[in-house]
Amino acid sequence: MSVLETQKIHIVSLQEHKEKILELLQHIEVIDIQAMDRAPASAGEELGRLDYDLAEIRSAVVFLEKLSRKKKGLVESFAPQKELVSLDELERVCRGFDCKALLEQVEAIETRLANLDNLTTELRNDIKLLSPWRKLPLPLDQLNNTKHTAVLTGQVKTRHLPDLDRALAIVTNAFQVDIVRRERDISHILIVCLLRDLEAVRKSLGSTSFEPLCLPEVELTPAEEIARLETLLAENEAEKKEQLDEAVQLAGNLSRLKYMHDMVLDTRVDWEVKQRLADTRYTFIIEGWIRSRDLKKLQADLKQLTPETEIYRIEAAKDEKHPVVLENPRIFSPFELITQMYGTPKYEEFDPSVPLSFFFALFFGICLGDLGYGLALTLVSLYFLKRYRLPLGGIKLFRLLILGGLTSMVVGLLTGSYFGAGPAAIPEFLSPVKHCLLSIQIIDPIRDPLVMLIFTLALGVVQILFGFVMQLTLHVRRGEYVAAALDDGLWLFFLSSLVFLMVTGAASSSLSGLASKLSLSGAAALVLTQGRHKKTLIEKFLSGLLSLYKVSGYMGDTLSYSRLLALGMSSAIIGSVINILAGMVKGVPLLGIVLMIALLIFGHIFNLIISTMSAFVHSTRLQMVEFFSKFYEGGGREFKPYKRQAEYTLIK
Amino acid sequence: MDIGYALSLAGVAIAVLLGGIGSAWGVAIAGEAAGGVLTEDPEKFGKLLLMVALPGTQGFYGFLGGFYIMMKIGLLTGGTSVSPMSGLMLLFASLPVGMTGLVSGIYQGKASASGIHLIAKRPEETGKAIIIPAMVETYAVIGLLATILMVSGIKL
Repeated sequence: MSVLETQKIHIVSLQEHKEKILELLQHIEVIDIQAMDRAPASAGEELGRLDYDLAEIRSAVVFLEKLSRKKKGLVESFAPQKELVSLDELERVCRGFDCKALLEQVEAIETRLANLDNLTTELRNDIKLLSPWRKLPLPLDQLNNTKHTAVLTGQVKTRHLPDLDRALAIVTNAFQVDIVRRERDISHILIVCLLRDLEAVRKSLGSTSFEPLCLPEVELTPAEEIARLETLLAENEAEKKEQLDEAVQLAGNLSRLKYMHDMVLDTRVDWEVKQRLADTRYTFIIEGWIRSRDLKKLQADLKQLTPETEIYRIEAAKDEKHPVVLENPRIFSPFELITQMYGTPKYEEFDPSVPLSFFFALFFGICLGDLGYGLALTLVSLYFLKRYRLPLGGIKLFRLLILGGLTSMVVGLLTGSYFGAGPAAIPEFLSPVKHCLLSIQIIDPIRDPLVMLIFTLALGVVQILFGFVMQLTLHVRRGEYVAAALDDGLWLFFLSSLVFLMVTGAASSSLSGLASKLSLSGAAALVLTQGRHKKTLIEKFLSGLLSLYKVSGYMGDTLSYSRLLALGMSSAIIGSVINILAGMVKGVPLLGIVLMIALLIFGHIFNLIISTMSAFVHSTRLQMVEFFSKFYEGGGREFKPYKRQAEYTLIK
Repeated sequence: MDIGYALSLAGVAIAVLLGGIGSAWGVAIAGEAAGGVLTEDPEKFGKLLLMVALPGTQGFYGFLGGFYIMMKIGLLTGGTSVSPMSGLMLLFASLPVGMTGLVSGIYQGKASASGIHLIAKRPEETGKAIIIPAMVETYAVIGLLATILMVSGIKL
């Protein structure tokens, strides 16, 4: 439950040490640098230039990566694998690297390829236009009108050819229709007529399905022209391949380009940070936040770098928000993921990661609820942690899944669920194991859903009451004792006495009389106190009475926990359905066993994925909606220390 | 084999059908949104796949509800006799999971689609984008729960 203490500081030093000091700060990653009021308005021009460079390099990287034929896996699309490199190596590579020239080359190739693609499309279209006319033995430029005759080229539906003849015969008797190519649907034709009849011919053609086609006027016959175009096309393709080959060659520079990108990015971050400082002619001030415990070390480090530096602690103003750093013991740190997903706590708040951890792990376990699935999830998560370099969030996620997998295994043992099968399915020759497992099993949720339902609702009651305890502690810590006693204390008392009443009522115990008296007194106390902020007596009473209505809200919250039962059953039942189906296909002749194994493997992997997803999502929701609403607000500012930023590389 | 048995089978069919339709519809809505985002940024495939799969659970809940009724009437193990009244009851019991699955599937699809738009602009907020559509799913879970409790309470 720890939000670490943070302290605002000013670091003052001489201009000549600025670079050195910033370098040190970037290296030790302890200070969150803030913009000072006196800092100059940022000059957008330099920033724009750097951003432009970055965008250019990135687009070259994307282009070259597409060519380098290395397929990205699904995992890499979640967590791109960064290259591990030392700072010296990075700088050495970038120094001897003519990035501008490479970028120009890449851009030239990209443009050329785009042009070639356009040209190819154009050539293909031309060839497509000409190919029906291949049989025409005339050069195309001779299809022009002569002094007295006109030539029309076009296509017409084959079944309309006789109509065409008839239509033309009406307007003139001096015409000739040549069929260049006749297909089942469409024929390409050449019409020759007298120039003076042309208008009339056109008009009468309008009533048929004739479509004029415009052919290029070249000195070649269609067949020759097609051959010429095809040679061009081949040349085009050859050049395209050449360009691509060249680009693939350039892709050898990919990692250098990536280094360069990160160098420029670093320059940009540097530049931006410098804008936040306040400068005088000879001195400068850095304003920032630091974890209080890092202060001594920073002082020592700076003194060692140069004695001409001073650190001042600054009292934060009342309305100033401290940045928030969370720190929890290793086992609990994965649960910070849930907290951060909701929102970083405020500086004055608890970090709810530890309080929610037990509930989250347990709920996840109940939702997945299977020894086999739990084991598989744990192993897969371990594999991912070992195999891939993941960002911090990814590491937390998989650690969370490992913990969830472990609780699922426990729940699986207690509910007797092993890859969807119950202990009853274990063959007789393993009977000692069977008896052992049967004796561990305490409940079968599929047979006794009611018992399980009550159990999940009880968990809900426990977590909601725990939420009130958290709120109470928070109020006490802030010294708001009245709110702690009258709001949280009374509600805790009233809700627990209600639960007590329900339990004793259900068990028809003799204590139920006492329980109802307790509940009534709790309700009365709430009516008397909840309206205490109102002015008039009547308002006080009414608002006190109305506050009892909140009970229905808490009832709803409790019922929400029934999802644990439903999700647990859903993973168990889908698992058993897969087993039943596998048992059915076993009977298929020859392939039976193979089919069964394939079905078992794919089915269970599938169920594992969707059940893990629901388990995660719904356990998270119970924390955020039902638990956090009782005491947690969030909305703090996360502590972001000044450090090196890189997209493609990881500095050793 | 009698009318009671047929009525319970109708219950199975309704649960599976409505849940399946809801999910197919919802997944399609989310899928359309994801397709649009992927044209701009194919790298986001993994994250978006998750978002598209979210409205897919209703189909399973429907199937589960149906399967629970199948087990109740022993469809796969030889069958027990079901009185017409029990059959009718099982048919009614299939409605919660079916109807909530149908409607929540579609609406979860819409919520997922807007989550996908959120991821398109702010990939670092994927966690929140996943949680919000899950709020819709709650009611399908409640429907499944009601069906299971009803079925397990019915005496054949």
